[in-house]
Amino acid sequence: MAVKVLIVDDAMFMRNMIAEIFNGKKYGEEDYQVVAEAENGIEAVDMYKEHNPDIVTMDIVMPEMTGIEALKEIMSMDSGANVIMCSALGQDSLVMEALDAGAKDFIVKPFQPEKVLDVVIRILGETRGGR
Amino acid sequence: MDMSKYKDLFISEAREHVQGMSNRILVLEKEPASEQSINELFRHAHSVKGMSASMGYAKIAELSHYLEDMMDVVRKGQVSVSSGVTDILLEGVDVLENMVDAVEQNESLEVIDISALLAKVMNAMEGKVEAAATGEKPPAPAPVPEPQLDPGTGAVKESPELPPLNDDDLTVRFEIAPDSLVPAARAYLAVKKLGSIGQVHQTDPPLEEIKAGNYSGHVTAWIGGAERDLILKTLQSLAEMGEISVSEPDGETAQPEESAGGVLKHPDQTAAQPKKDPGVSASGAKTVRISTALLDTFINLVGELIVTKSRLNDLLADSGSRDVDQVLTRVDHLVSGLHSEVMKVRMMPLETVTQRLPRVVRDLARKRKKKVSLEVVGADIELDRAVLEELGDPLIHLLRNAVDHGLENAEGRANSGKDETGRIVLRAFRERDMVYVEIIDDGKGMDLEAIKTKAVEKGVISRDQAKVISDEETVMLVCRPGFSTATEVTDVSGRGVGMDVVQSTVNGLGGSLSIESHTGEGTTFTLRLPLTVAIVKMLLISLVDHTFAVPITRVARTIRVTSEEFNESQGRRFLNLDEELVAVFDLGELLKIERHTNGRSLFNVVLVEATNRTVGLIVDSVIGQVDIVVKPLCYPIQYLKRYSGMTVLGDGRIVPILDLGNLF
Repeated sequence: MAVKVLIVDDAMFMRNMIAEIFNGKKYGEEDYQVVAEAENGIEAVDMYKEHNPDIVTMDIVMPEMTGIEALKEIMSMDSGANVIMCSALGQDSLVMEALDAGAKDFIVKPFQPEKVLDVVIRILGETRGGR
Repeated sequence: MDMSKYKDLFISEAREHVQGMSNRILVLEKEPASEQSINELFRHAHSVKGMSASMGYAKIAELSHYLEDMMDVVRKGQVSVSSGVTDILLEGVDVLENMVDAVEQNESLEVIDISALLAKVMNAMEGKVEAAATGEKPPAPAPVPEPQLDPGTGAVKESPELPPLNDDDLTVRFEIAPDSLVPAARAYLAVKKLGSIGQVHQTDPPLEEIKAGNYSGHVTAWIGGAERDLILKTLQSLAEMGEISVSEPDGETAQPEESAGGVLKHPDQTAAQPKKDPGVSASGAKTVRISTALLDTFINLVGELIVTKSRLNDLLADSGSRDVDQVLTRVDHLVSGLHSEVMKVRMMPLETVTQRLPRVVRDLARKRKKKVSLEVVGADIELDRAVLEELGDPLIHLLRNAVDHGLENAEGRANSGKDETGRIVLRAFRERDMVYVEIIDDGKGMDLEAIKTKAVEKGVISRDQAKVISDEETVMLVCRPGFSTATEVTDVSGRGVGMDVVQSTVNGLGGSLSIESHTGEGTTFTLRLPLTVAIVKMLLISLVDHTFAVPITRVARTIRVTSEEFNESQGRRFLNLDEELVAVFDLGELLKIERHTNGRSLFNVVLVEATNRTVGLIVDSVIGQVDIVVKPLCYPIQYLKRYSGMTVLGDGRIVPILDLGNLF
């Protein structure tokens, strides 16, 4: 069993960094596994359908389809989806819009790995029930 | 986290964004209302901001943040795009580029002062833009639209009419951690979470305030239907929380036992596996970034393989063994396949070089107070990376020439009945295994008399030669070393560039440069380039016991002639070929290799293309065609004008490559 992660960001650089955060880490007995990456909202929705991840990290500003639009689509497909928005500074209003649309939490660049994992653990704890 | 390994990736991605911004701004100049451009610019700035913040490059993040805000203000209609605005944006992009360069060179960003630029951006956002050189007044900013209140969609009630506070509501007071950069969003999330475990009847500040980004230092919420412990646990589990307190049902406020800001204990984190290579994702990325040094190694190895393979062919040609022949054929096939795949990797579109050019032309034209448009056609053509690397400077120089000298100023153009805006077209197309890049301007053409006069002055040609020289040859005089002196080459980018350098660069790549000029109508520079330079076909020729190589692309054909067919005139030899007189030179004389040809009755002549004309080269024998890897000449041999490079044959012989542009 593994905790499946989908990373969505239009910069490969950022995706690599976020993947690194999960690398080798475990949630209890389960490994985190980055099952897919997407570089825009449309791919994000496709990847979500294909892999049904446990956690999604979603960049807010992306080409083709924004993170918020993708979030809405994912939420409509799976109301229990765990989507964490990734924002850069100065995007309070977009973050709040995302929270309204169903995002479970958010992280801000520059990321601190421990903070990212804390957020992930909290969300998994709620949905997977009492770990 | 160790950021250094991400540095290269950061640099290449940041550069892509910066280039994208530059292109978009130029589009915006022509279409100031283009929503797509505005949004793209916003996105690029945003990406650079995020990446540089993650890497810890605060200055880059700050500048991109300002530029992003600027684009945000533009797309909200509060500021419209004027030339003053695009100038500032371009300046910002230039500084971003400088900072990324500095990062690459491991130089400190301390020395780069962006405060003046930031102030300009601030002013621009407030509508105070300096009128541009063309005397444009900055447009008045549109009135700031009233912020819209979003209807809430969460479980939190936001209606202005709040139900009366219940007596058994608990009072929750919390703060966001002081080092949080997004306290309002955190506060909003906290209130939403509370809403999911109970009913939040009111908050102070009101939710609309928090949504508008106003976080005053603490938030108080009145919540019913939730237990105190659950409230504490829920809020404590959130990131970036500061102090949390929940009042007792009887109204007394009590601090939680644990100090707030703690996080739920989580399972042990063990580093189980060795680090994976960050370049490839688990889902199997479709692309991989590879260092260019590694690519060059591939090319070199494949090149050596090809050369060695042909040596193998030579040695085993007479083996008489069918098995050997079969294996040789198979090896041939495999190596050819490898070669063509590797060459594909080296090919990159011309666009990588031409994408900077509209900006260059724009800046040049502004400086010269001329209106110029650059149209690029066929930039999707692919060329060898090594060729592209060398092509940038020559193209810029040719464009500079066109703007400075070729195109007339507004008055001159009006007098000739031409459109006010000078037109330059850069056209690239492919013909068989050569690529042609033309730079065509509709200016005044080259002044042949002035060129001849100057050439005589500089001692490039004699007065007598000036009398008989053809128009085609006159035009090429500008490429002679010594024609233009250093002081005349204006705005040089640091390296010495003149037409002679342009020509020798093109020649060095195995190509040629030609110029066509029509007085009053314009000038066309044509660069003819081989598709690839790494592994090229050469014609091997011999002179006494020396072997030389000539690029096949420059060889028209080889012929054998008798001594009677030569015509002599004024000490020079000519051949009459297809009704055309072709000048013929003896390679031995050109290279100062002594030999006697008096008794000879048959001569091998190689017809080559040298600067705009066909010339015959008398050699001893023509050995044949061969694929070779071109290797550059090193110090001090590189200064020998007649050789453009050298190669090593399969049998170990070192063969110099003749530079046809400088031979005659």
